[in-house]
Amino acid sequence: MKISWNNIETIEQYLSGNLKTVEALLFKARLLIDPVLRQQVILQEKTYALVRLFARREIKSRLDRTHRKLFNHPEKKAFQQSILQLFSKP
Amino acid sequence: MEVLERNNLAQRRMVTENAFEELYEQAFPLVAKFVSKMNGSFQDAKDIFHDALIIFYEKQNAQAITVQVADKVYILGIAKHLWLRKFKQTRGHVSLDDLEQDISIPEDYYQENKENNRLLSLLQISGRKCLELLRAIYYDKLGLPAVVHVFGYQNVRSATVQKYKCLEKVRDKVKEKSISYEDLLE
Repeated sequence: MKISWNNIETIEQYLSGNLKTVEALLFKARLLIDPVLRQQVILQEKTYALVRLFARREIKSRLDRTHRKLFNHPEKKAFQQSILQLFSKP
Repeated sequence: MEVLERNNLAQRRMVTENAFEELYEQAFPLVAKFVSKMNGSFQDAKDIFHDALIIFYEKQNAQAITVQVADKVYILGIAKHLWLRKFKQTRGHVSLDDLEQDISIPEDYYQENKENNRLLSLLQISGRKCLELLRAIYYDKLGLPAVVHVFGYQNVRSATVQKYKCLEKVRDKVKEKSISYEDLLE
């Protein structure tokens, strides 16, 4: 288990450009000869991309809630009108 | 002081629902005005504004905003770029000042990826807790002490262990559920 985490940690440092020059060279050499490691790197990149996608979706639905709230709240009438009048056809 | 404020947005977001709301009220009028000038609809203004806010948030977290300018002005700059990209208009129609010229949009922002959408739906069912933790660390860029506080871990060490456990869990799930296996072996 520990070995696997070390691997994850090293891949993380490699992907974020935080390995020292020598370590990075060694890692690249390992990548050349180790297809499993190559696959792990790709999977880990994909994992970060999915976390980003997840986060963007979550914020988007939160912004939708904020939007609904602002455009339905009676106290925000002035704000609503100032925006809506921009889009009313003359 | 302002920089301090900015870096705290993520922390504040975890604590209060209002962080985005204030920014919404300040910045949406500017973006709406721009979109209406470009003959866009209310819906266009909303969509572009939401994307601009997300990108703004990402840039803040990555400390990629180095100019001293009001948040709403920067958000308008992002919105202009998004408008150009979305409606494929030439820059001639949209005037960009020096500050706005320098704004970049994340490469992957408009990349639709069916495979990732499918994987995310699966992950949200089986690994939502891990996604939340990884999001806080990698996307919101909360420091580990803040993560300990927000997620109720014992200490930084146990949060770190959990981070790697989650990375491994999600990575294994991605491996298990990927169809485009060839992609992985490229």
